[in-house]
Amino acid sequence: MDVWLDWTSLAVGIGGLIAGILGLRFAFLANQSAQLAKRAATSAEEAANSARTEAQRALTRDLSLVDIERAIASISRLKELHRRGNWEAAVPLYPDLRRTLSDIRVSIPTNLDQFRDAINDAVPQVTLMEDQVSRALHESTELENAPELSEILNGIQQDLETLQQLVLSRMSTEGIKWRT
Amino acid sequence: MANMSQIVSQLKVLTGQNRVPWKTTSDRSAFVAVYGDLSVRIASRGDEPQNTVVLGVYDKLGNLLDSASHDASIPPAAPRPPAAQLNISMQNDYSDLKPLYQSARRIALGADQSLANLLERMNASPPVSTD
Repeated sequence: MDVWLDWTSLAVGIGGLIAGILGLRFAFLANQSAQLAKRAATSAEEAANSARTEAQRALTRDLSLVDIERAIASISRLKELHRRGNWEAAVPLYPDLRRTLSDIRVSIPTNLDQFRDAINDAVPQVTLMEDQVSRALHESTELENAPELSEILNGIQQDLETLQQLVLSRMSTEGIKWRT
Repeated sequence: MANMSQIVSQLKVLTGQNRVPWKTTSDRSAFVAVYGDLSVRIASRGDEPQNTVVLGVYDKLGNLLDSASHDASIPPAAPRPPAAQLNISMQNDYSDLKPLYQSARRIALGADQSLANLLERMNASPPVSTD
């Protein structure tokens, strides 16, 4: 009877041990599978984040280029009006140019900070130009420094064109297409 | 809260130390200093000595935020008791703007450097021949 009990206990013990090992193996596999799933989810999330960031960067560059084109067009128009002495028509264009320059400043890509400084300098120059033209119109006096106004506009345009070329070249390097 | 009196006082101090980046503009009587997306402009209107000096602070869009002016054609107010006796803070009538304009102009035009260069050239020049 005692021998029988011993054999039964041994069998139950061995069974329990096997069940334990199998349980552990199952738990290990389940854990490994959960980790793999988690890693896959993280990679997918990282890829999505990276794609989102790249899309945002591209969008910023596009916005910047649209604004740069608009500012250059405004400057060309202003220079033409200055040449003709059509100051009344020029006055409403200055605030638009200031706003566009301010938008460009915000979207200037990193590593091109020198252009942010150039735009920072340009905005007050355009404000002053607007004040000078408005005052001359109000007082019905001739603008004595019309050539200097055009010089200032030329300088701003030059900076914008250089910035435009740099952004386009950077986009080309990164394989980002710009609308034509 | 900052006000124009503080801006004028600080500009005067820093300009005196040549620490304000005053620059020339398309207007020969106006000079601008840019601090990030904010800027200050000092301008003189009218003929000396009866000119008016205006200082303006502008935002990132170039809109005028606040200004201070000193009109030299208006005679100064009658002498008042010192501020300490009145027990009030001294009100700035922006008479500091006139010397500030002159200092800003000198910095923007590089007048001090030009004078130093002139002195150097004068001292280095050979004696003038009398023959």
